[in-house]
Amino acid sequence: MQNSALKIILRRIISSLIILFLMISFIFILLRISPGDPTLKFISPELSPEFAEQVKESFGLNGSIFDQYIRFIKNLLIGNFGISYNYRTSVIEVIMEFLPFSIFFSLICFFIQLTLSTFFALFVFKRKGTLLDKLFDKAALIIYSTPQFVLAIILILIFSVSLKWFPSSDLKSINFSELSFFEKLIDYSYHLVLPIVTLSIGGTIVFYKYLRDNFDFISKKSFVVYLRSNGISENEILLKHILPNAAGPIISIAGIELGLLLSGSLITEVIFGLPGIGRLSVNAVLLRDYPLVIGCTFITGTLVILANFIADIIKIKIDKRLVKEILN
Amino acid sequence: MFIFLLILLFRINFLLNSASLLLLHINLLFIEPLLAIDQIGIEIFDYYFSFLLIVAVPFILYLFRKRLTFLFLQLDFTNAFITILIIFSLLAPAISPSNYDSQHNVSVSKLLPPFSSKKIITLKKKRGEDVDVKQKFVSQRNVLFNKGLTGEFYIADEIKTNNREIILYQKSKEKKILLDQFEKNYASMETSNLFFLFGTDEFGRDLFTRLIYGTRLSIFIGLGSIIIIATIGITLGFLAGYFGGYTDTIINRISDIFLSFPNIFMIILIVGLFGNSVITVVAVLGLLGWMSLFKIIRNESASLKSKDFILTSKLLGFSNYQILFREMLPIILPSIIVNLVLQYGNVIMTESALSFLGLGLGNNYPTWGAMIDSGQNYLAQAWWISLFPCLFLFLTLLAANNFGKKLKKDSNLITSES
Repeated sequence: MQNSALKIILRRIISSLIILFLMISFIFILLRISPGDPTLKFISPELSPEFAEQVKESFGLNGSIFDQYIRFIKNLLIGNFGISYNYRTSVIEVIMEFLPFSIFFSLICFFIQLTLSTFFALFVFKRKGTLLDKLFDKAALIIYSTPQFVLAIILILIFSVSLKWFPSSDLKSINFSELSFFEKLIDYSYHLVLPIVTLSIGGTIVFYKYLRDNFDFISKKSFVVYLRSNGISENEILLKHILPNAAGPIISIAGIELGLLLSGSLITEVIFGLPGIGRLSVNAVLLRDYPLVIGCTFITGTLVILANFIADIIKIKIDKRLVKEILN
Repeated sequence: MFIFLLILLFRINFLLNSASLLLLHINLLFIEPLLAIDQIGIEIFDYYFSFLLIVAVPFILYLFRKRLTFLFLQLDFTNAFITILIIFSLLAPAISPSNYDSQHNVSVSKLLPPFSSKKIITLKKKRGEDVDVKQKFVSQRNVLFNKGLTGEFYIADEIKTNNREIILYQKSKEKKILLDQFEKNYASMETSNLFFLFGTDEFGRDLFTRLIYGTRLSIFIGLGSIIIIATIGITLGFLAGYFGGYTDTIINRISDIFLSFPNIFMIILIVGLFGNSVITVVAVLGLLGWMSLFKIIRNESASLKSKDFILTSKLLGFSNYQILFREMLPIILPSIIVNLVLQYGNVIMTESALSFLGLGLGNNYPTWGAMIDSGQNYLAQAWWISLFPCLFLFLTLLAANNFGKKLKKDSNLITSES
């Protein structure tokens, strides 16, 4: 058992690596065949053509696409993503600057999503069929069909323009450097309230909806009736028997959601001006910073695959029967 | 039906104008056919089309009212909103109160709140000698395109007249038109109100008009990508599901690769690199959205493959084509349609997000996302710029989701009963 699971996990890792490699190659080719030349920004026509050739060489853009690709793969195997055209430092350094914030931010949102949705689902399920239930059902559909940026703008409009409670963008106040450590912490959280709310609401609703439907589905099964007839209290049935059974499908959705969050919630980061991976990669695309684009792709792809992988492993921990079904 | 009557009542002016333009155009066709053909562009065709539609549709509805019973649905939010969207997109020129690019006088008309109206004074020149059909055609076309605002016109907060001059108050400035001069140059003048239902944006353009034109773009982009999604999804789904074997594994792996990557990033990458024309956006949205439809069709056709009636028809010597399209497709169709409707909402949302990030088509043509984006800079002074497109986008998505949900319910009923 243990051995076969290990083998399957190994196979999974190898196949994910292949997927990542294909993805990166695809983007590499896409970048090279796209119109436009990233070196043009750094060369003025007055400079000599030799110098232009030098710039091209330093950017790794000389030679045919095939040559470039070979060179790129060689560098990749050493773990060298090249130097960002725009920041003039190595890509890994640039990404490391932006990554911690993204991870921190998305983990907070993920945690809020899970706790809130579980809480609401339990709360509403106990009051099944009441007005509150219907209200939540409608509200879920309404919030589900609100795009994130619309939500963000409405929140900004209400809370930072008319009520002036929270700042509308950035991570730090102007006088940030003068503050003490605790004040800094408070300042951070003060600035993060609106982004976190924006990012959490969507996922909360998705989880809530799935949990609620699963509760309904599982509570109709015969084992619940059996437990009830044995005189076990409703609360205990709900928390000990229905909730773990309903959690199975949620975990894989949670994995996808976590992957999306980790890979940078592009739009939220752009609107609120936060220094995350999403904004970095959008900027990299717009500035035609090829190495940075590939680096960002690699990081986001890895995070997404990792998140799904973790979700699968947790699922197996909960329900051992699923080993073969999932990993094959 | 009712809405058409409303349009007929409100835009009688437009109808008359476009009718006369059409007549002039036909006239021109006889005199100078080359020029007339040269004049036929998308914009002018658009006007003719909406004119003909308005005139023709009530008749058609009246004549075929017995066969078209599906049009008399129960009125609820979803149906009503979908109807409004369709009418907005088809009849944009007829409904919009002004041209989507016309700016009037920026200092007066910029950033007006909703439901505000401004005075407008139009000075009509003495009738010149434009007896020539060509000149008539051109002037008539200008009248039509600019919704009656041609020649010299001034927009003002307030207008006062003495016996010697007309004073126009434009914010802090005053503009005077002397009556002596006026009588020398112009034949008559008209004062009227220019009404801005949803206010104006930072360049003084009417938001309601831009919203209507944005609706059209969103709907067309959605339709285009949905068609691409449907073609790719159905073909690949049938290939993988029905034939199985190696093709199945290969196509499945490809879709896994596409799924293991955040879609929006890929879309931004391609649109950012390859420029942002309508065709690129449609193609990208279509090419990156087929996975869920593919999965559905693959699973369903794989399970249908071993059903008795398919085996029978195979033994009867039906070709693959016949089996797939005659026997399988009608059974899978309900779930395909539900999926497509839900995808439609998704596509529209992604397109708006793209325009919002400045990667859409906002430069040449009004789109919802671009309007929201431009309004974001003026949130403190002018909340209406981004609020109304937000509202429209939200209602569209809500309608699409609701519609999909309803279809799902209905299609499940059919399959469970039979």
